[in-house]
Amino acid sequence: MRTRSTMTLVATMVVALAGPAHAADDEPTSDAPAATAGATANAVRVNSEVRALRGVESTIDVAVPAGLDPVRLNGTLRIDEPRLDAEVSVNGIVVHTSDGKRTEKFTATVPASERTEDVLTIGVRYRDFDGQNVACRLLQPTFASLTNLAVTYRGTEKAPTSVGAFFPQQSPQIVVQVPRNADRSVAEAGLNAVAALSRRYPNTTTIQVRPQDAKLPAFRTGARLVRIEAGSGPARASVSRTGRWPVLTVSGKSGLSDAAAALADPALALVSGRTAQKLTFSSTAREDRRLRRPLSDVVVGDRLTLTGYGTTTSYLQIPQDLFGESISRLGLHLVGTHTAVARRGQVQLDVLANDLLIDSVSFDADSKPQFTLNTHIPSAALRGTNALVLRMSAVPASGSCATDLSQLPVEVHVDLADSSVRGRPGPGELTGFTRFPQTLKGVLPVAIRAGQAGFDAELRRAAALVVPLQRAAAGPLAVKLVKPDDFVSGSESGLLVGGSRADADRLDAPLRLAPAQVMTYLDARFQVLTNQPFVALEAFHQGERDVLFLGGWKVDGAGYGTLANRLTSTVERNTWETLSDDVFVATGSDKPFSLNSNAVIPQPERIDGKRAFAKWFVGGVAVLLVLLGINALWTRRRKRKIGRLIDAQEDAHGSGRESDPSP
Amino acid sequence: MTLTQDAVAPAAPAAAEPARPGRRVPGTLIVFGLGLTVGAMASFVSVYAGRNMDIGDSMAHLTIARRIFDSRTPGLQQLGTVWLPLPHLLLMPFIANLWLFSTGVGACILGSLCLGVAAVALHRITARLGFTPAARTVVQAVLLTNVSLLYVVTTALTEPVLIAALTSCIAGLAGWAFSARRLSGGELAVFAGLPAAAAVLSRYEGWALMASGTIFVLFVVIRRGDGWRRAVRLGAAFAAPPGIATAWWLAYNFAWYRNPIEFMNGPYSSAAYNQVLIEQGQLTTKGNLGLSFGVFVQGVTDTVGVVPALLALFGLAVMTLWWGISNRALVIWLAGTSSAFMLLSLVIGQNVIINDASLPQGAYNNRYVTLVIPWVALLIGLLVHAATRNGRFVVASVAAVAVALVGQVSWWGTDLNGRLPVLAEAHHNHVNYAHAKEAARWLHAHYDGGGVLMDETSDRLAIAPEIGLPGRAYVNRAAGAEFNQALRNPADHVAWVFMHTRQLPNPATEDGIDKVTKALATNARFHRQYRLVYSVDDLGIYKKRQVGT
Repeated sequence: MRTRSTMTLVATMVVALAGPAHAADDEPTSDAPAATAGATANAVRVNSEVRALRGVESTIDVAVPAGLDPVRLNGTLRIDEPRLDAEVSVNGIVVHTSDGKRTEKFTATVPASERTEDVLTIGVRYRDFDGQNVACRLLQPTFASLTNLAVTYRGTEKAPTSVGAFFPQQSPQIVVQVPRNADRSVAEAGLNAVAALSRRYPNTTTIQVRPQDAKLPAFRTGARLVRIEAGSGPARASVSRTGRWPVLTVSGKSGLSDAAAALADPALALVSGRTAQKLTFSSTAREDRRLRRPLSDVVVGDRLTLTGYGTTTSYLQIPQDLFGESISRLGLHLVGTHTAVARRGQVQLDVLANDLLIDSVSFDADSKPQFTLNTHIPSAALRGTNALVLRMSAVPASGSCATDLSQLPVEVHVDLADSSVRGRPGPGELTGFTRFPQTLKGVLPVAIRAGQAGFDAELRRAAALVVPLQRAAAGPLAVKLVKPDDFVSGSESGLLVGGSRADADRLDAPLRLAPAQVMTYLDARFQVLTNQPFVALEAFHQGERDVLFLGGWKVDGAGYGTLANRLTSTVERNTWETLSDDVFVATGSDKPFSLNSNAVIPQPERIDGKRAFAKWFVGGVAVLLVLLGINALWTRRRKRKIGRLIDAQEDAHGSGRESDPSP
Repeated sequence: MTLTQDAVAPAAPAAAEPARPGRRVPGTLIVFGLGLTVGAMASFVSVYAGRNMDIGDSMAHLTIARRIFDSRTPGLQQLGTVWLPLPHLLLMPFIANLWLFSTGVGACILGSLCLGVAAVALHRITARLGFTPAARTVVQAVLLTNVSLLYVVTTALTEPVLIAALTSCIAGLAGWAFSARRLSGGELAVFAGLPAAAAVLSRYEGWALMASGTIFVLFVVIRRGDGWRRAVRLGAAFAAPPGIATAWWLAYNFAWYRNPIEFMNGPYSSAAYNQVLIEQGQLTTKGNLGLSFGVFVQGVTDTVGVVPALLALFGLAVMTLWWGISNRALVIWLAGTSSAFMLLSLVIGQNVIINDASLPQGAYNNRYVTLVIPWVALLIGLLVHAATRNGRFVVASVAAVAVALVGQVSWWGTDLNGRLPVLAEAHHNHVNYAHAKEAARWLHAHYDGGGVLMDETSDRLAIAPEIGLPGRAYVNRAAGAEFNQALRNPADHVAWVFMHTRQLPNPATEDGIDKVTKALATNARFHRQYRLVYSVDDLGIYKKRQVGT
């Protein structure tokens, strides 16, 4: 069995407990009171969507920041079946019931009894969730979901006083500060901190890199500041405050990137002191990225059960990156048990992958309770993140879905430990952005060509691209900063930010940094690219590697910065999966949009670049000519040999013999 | 004392003349049957899967062939100038029956016959070249296991006819070159010239074969020492049938269009289409040998398969080293004529092939590359012949090629649409034409008589076989004056109108504009006289209102 050990981090921390020896480290760097931070009556967004299938209650736990009392809950309730009532609850107490609309915004008061709890459990369900009155489930799965959740607090947030408590469960914004024109190790650590925090927080948390002397944005409850600084000795972390911002300073000379990467480690919560020393990233204990993974690795929760007559469905997401690299085939080995099926009852288990039915098995009265199913998603149907659906359809022996207490229950249990998914390594057939992040194999080389825009600005854009890449990845990405020239001439997959026209040519980018024209048959919104200044993020295959390239044409100075920031912030705000095709473009007059490079009329730079292939034709002809020459030499030797033999015969017999040695 | 072969055996294998068989070549009938059977099986699969008319040109060829005897204005002028005429003329008897026409089965019959002829021709070529039985078997295997070719023979495309004509011509030339007696010019004209004429009237690759075949004849005669006079006489004998065919084609163009080169510079010529591509910046191979060669190589590796292509390349090297420019080598080089023509036409911008190596990328016209398959088959056959000529390595050689071919076909088979550009293009069209075919089937089911006005030249409307009505029902561009009259006053001419409900924003060429849409879509009188009875996507079928409705 193959194992991969890229990108799992284990933080080994020597915790400096608060005490006299470390008194200096414990000093806050701000003269503001250490006990308070934040404002009163703040609304804090909850970072997740809560989605409940009919018959099931889904919940999310929201940690209440220290010092605050939750008073109100806002959100959007969306239900697939408006004829049914859906309920929103806080710690089991119903605080809102749907009003018959498919989508409604609601505001609910947090019950007074629950305001002192450390955790709010917010739940959503259909009122008939116990299923007692429903003999058969609906054919189409019906959901109720909560989005845009925000909890309004009263009081004043207590600033964190330890490294372990520094990062809250939810945060609206995290700023990573690095010095201007930071040296390579500090900038690299900054990007690793961004990656680690992106892994920790979903995309409702804004994560930015800013120069240390740049003005901070307005503070919001839960916001945090991470400061990366050069220092001496091994990397260490300490908690302090700047104004209302809680600050975690990671500094040191050695192991700075490892320390930054460790910010995503759950073990960080164990550090109870203001300072943590020797924060390290263990390369020997990296996360296991085997090609064969138990299903428990991809199932949320500890069981996978399909139950009830009618149709019940379970959804799994399997990103290619789970296997640590691109795969060309995804195998599924399902082991499970089903309840005995009555003589005339019918039970069918279907497996769908990316909306394609890939296997189906039926159970009947003669089936053994245990079942095994082996199937695979074919290469052409594979995506970057694959949606696997297990769907059970069951018809009772009576053939009727009416409530019948004599009906025996029907259930299918999938053994998560023995069931597995298995990836077969291979380039697969994905192209463009969909090849990322799995093609990176857990390591993201980032090259920054400072150019006119300056290093700090490009570093910030690089960070904005690292964020969605890391969020799309199954495991942590190890970011390493490389020199742009080394990257361009190298063979590693990675990201080049601020690429020049020459870089685009050398990398054989599909959209060169030159005037571009879009095919005239395309929609008018794409035509804005034609002969207009642009900044483009491109994803393409070059040689044996995949490259992400950010560069612009005919945009200088501030113009480039504006377009590039618009483009990268759009990518950062959305998920990586929303990027389609292979080019994402920002022009002066429109929102950034995805484009297939095939829709761009081939630029002369690209066409001329192909002329070099003629050398293979010329070389082939030359080889044939050489072989022809050798043949001619052999033929001449043969003719001479025959001639000599004929002469010998003539000498021996005194008579000649004609021969035509020509072919 | 007599010299034995062993006594004069050179260090390198010599390009000795092969044994000189007579006109009859054993196994010809069996091989024809084999090719026919494989073609029939492929046809069954393709028709059963509903894929045999997926490439738009295929339906256009069927339609042209039928219009010659079944249209408002039947006659040879329906051949038009877009394509050379022979494939349509050959199709005619096979689509006389409306079912054979509307299902495309008539094209399958012609394609399967062509595959049989090509298999026989290769068999006879290999016999003339003195290939070992193992090598001959391998040649057939390479030809008959090529999935792209097998698909193409189930369509009405021109490639099957051309391949049959090209290989037959080369077989004729090989028979002439290696005949035990000096064949006359008349015999050369019949056995090689007539197939060359067929090639000339099938595709322009045939014109290149006329030139290379003539050079071959001159070369062989001069090499024999028969002198220039005889060389010219025999060269002329070979070139006479294709020359006459060419002259006929020029005369046809002049007779109908008052322009002998209407096919080259007329509004429906490929040059006109290419001009649009040039203006769109998509004819990127023009003047770029590197890109053209890249596109060609990509096409070959995609269509022939990487392993067969590499074996063929190795075979080419072995042949050059072994046979130099002997007559035998020249016969095999003749099979490469279409490859050279294809590369040249890419460089001079007369042809467009789009694949993964082209700019832009995609899948278009890769079926042209199926013309390379006979050459590849012969080169691989030569490799096996070299290995097995002494009676050794027979099993190993055949087994190695068999494993390679089975592996290649299996790899293709797991994802036909993704791995074979010819099938990818067909699949793309299958999806693209889905709505148009749906509308066609609706019209077929609800047609109750009367004329149908439609512009079959416009986007996705070359679907007459799918509609399956007799050609006389259509009033289209091919109907000439009546089409223009119907555009002005449809109610006097047709009961049905099948058109785009809105004009295409950017048709590929001016002729891609739906003239019916242009004339009627916003014509209030038309909408008073006709009602929309079916619509899907941007296509609509209108029926003339009855009086009082």
